[in-house]
Amino acid sequence: MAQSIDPIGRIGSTNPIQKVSRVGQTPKQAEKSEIEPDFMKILQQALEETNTDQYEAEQAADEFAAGRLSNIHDVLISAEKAAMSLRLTLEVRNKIVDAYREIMRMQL
Amino acid sequence: MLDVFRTLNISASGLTAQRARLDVIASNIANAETTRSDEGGPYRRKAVIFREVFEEAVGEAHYRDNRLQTDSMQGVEIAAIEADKRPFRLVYDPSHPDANDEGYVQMPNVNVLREMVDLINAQRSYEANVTAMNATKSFVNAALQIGKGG
Amino acid sequence: MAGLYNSNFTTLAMAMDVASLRNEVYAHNIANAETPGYKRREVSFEENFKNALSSDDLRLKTSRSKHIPNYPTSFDDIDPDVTQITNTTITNDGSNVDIDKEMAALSANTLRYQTLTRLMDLNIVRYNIILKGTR
Repeated sequence: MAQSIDPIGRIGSTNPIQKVSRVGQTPKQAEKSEIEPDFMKILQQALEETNTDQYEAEQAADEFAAGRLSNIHDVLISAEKAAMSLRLTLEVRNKIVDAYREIMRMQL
Repeated sequence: MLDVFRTLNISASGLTAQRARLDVIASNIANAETTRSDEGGPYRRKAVIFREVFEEAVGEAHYRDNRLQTDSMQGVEIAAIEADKRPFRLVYDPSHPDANDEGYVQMPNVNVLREMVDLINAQRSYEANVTAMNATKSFVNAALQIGKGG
Repeated sequence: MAGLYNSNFTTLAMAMDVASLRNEVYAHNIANAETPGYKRREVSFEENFKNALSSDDLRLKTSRSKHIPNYPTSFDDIDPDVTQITNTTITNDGSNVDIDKEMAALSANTLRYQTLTRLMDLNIVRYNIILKGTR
């Protein structure tokens, strides 16, 4: 399941998503402490990029509406990118929640 | 959004007007050689006169209560079907039953070639109004896609 | 009311209104292409829209900027005009309508409207991703 995010490579080269999903199967102390700082930084970066995408898409649409941007494909690509990055962020968030729940179950 | 039916009516008025024009052209061509018309004498060419339908008093386009309104533009109408007042053609043909004493026949003031050109123009105008109508329909279809997702 | 809906809802809706009005004007011009003495009409909008905004020449920025454009927030801020064009030469049986130009403009305007509806749809999609996607 986590492998589907792999090709996109946005979350960084260490691919902490895989590590997080594996935490539920074979919890290792060393691995866990390694994940947290690395992961949070990458996640924050991704969130900021997503935010920028939203802002750019909204700007582009407003400019197009005002008649000052005449490139149809530019404005549509911008809007689709924003939607995609939002979906991606949401998927990442859901995966984290799932992994967290899995961990919580384990501790019982 | 504008009342889209009003826009469709504008194009419909164009279709009606062009169709009436086609009828008149057809009549002209059919009667190009008619020497005895209902009014007596040779057939006299007819022509349509178009007129814009525009009601100034109803209001100009401006935002009112968050809606863009304009009721003034209403397309086109036939103002009149007028007889072409140009003189009849005189053709020398003593054998013709309607020839005068000098052997000349008064023929309709219809130039068939000119009517054919007019016919093509009328068809082109008709098609243009169809295109305009289709554009309006695509507006409705595009609006219906809002909220459907992706 | 501010905060829930982004500027796109207003700007795109206004642009769609103008495109609809333009479509009606083109339909009227095409219907009257051969009306003797007819002067074609057109909608002036972008000029009025620009005047309502700040004077900066805003272009699509690739980096996030703190400058928020002063877009009209209500429909009362702008006012499209339907004007008559009287300074062109007469063609085509007494009207100044160039049917080919009119058809081209009709086409371009239709594409613009379709793009605007797509953008509005995508805007709503983004809202829905957040509203529907969280577990």
